[in-house]
Amino acid sequence: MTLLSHRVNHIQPSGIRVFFDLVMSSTGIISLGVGEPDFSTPWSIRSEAIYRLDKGYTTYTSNVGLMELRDAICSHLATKFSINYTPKEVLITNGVSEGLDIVFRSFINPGDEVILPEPAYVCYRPLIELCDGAVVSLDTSSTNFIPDPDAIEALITPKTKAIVLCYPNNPTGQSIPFDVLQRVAKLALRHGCLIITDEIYADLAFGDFTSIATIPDLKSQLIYLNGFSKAYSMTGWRIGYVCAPSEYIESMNKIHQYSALCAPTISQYAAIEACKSSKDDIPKMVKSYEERARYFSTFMNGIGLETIMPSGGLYCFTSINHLPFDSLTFAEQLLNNAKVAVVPGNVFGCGGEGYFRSCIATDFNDLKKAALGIQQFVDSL
Amino acid sequence: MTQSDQNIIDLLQKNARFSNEDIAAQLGIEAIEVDTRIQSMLDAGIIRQFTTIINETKVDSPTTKALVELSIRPERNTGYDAIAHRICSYPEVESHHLVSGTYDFLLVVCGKTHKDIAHFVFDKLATIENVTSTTTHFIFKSYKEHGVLMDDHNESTRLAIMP
Repeated sequence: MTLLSHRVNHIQPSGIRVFFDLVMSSTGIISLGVGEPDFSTPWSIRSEAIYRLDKGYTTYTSNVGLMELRDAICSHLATKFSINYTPKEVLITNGVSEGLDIVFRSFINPGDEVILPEPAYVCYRPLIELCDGAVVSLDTSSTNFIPDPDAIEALITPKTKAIVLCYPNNPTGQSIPFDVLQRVAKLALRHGCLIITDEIYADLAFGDFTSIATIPDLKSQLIYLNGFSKAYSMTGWRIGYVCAPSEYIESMNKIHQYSALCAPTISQYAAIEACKSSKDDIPKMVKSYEERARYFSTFMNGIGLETIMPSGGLYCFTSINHLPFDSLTFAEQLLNNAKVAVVPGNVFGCGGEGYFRSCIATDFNDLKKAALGIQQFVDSL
Repeated sequence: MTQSDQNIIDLLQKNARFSNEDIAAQLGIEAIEVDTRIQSMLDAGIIRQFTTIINETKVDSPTTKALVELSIRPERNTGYDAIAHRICSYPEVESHHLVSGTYDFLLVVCGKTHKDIAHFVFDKLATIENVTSTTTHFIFKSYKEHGVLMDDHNESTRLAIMP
């Protein structure tokens, strides 16, 4: 007999756990399995945090987060993405991960269905299932990883509560063109379901990026999530935010105030500084990611491993469908034979099998060595 | 200069050993175009030289360096330029700037020993007619050169695998 709840027992452990242990026990490897930027947090941000710590800014903040930070976020969203929210419509969270958790817990009733285009980052499915929601997966691998609105609509039932979007996408790097987003918005309005859009990689888009949150009619049915982890290289600081109509924010804050109380105070001050002073750092980092993504995707395509050039973010998603491996076996063999670690695509849900993810936020010389290692391994088969 | 030229320069300033093929693959252009653009920037004097940044504390015979401030009495017709040209011609002068503030020229001067630099300043620089005063600051340690940190505290703490 277990004392654990049915809910937690029902959750599948991360599919990457065994592989993680294998990688961590290996030496002399080049890892493209990393999930974060390779730049340090810009110094002005770190310096601000040190200053605040020195001055004793170590107390709680209000549950929803510092007003100055919420104000700065609203300005950033309006200026960069033409997304309009007021500070009352912003909740500061412990990264987007906590934001997603409280969004799902605030909106999902047992039996509600949530449409999830996959491959997708690994947290959505378990967090939805923890709320006794049902994930309805849409495999996007046959449409260049861009969900087809007609296919989404075909999955909608009276139980559909929400559609989750995460673009630019982890792991595929693809973004949804705005005309497609408009069609998704229309069907969400038509069927009265929520759009939950996680745009943590939006600041790292390689070209123009237009958010679904710019569609005014959708605002009452849209939950927007973003954060500082990827754009400002602040993964360990744990600062994300949720934007939504104020009545939704108030409801979500009921969970946040009991489970998290507030996001880390020092990190909130650091995030204010990020909004103020680090705007010039982002384009330089994005340019560097784009150059490395172009190099890696070109190289992979050149050796016969189809890789669509990402439109943003930190990852390339490469097909190994024609090779005699499933993705986990490929990753294990590549690690053992070429000393290169990648993330097997199967961990990212439907449509991820037959692919591997590589983090291009890797020193160029290492990226090149890894690419050559992959080539030698594939040539040896 | 085109945007493509600027992109090539940005990459070469990060790593002058990038091959034309590496640069081409990162920028989405042909390697032959990279070669042509670099050659034309060399011809135009935009790229002056490909060089190497050394951590002097790690080499067997480190170079001694000093910052030398010079106050100058400019010449009637040529201002600072003629005297600057004369000073720049010494191989001991690694870099040379005309600056605002209480003195005029700021030089980085190199030598094998402190004595070499002292002799150079006394014998060669201070004796130039237009030089009215000199101040020499020997460099004990360099923490950052050309945007590159000199210490080795860059070990990554990133997790090797993270979905």
